[in-house]
Amino acid sequence: MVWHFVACREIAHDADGSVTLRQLVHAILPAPGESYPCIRERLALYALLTNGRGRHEIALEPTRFERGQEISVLKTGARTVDLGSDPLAVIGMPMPLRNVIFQEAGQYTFHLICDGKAIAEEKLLLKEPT
Amino acid sequence: MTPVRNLDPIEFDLLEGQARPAGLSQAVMPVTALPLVEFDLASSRAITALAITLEMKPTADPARVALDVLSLIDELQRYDRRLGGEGIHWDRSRSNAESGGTVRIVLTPNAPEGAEERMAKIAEFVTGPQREGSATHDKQAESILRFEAVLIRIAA
Repeated sequence: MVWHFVACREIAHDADGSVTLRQLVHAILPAPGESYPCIRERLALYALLTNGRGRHEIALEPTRFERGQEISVLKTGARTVDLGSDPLAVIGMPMPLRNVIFQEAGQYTFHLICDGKAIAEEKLLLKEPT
Repeated sequence: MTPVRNLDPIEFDLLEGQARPAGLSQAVMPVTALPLVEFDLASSRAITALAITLEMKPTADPARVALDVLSLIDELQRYDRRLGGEGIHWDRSRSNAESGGTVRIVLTPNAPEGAEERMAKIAEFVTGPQREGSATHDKQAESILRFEAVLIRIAA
């Protein structure tokens, strides 16, 4: 079960094993005077999970809406994660992203895929350039 | 708080091994961070109220008792406003009549800011010398045998 799935600029890892999410985000747009397509070289997603155990395949699938249709932008390769043996444990899953390309303005959705099934989503609004 | 076990970072490069396309703009993520909006939930859960116990004279006329109690509450309302408050209201659910002619009335402040200090002054006022001997007090004393006031903490 995913309790939180949020996008932020970056995730800092503290010495005690905790993490700090820096600058939660929702809206993204090209730098002033620039236009689409644009790229975020660094972005991050963080998921907080419980009720899971054992090894699972985790992937991401960003989509965007175009004329009312949700279109898959890409599906990443899967990564294997081990959630341990305690289903009551609260597991944090930091996911740094590199080179996220946005082709045009509109609503994008990042789906968190576990063993081929979408278990959470985070929406980002790509705004018109200024 | 339940400890969180953070997994090692799971990095995704969304270029997935492809060459970076040319001509991409930089994306920005503007966020306006407002000043901190702090909530102290410990202090907001309880407020200071006033519990007044009035013992009626067994021989008092019930109609007279009703008027004297109303007059006392009205007097305390005005006193709270003189102290800078916004008056007090009768907390019906926490008030009760006991056998033997005793009634316990709980009064809560309309303005919680500074209420503890004002309620303490009102408690002193109910039984204190500045009120004793006044015409209002003497009138109320015709039906009320004993005035008592204590501060209590109640859930907001």
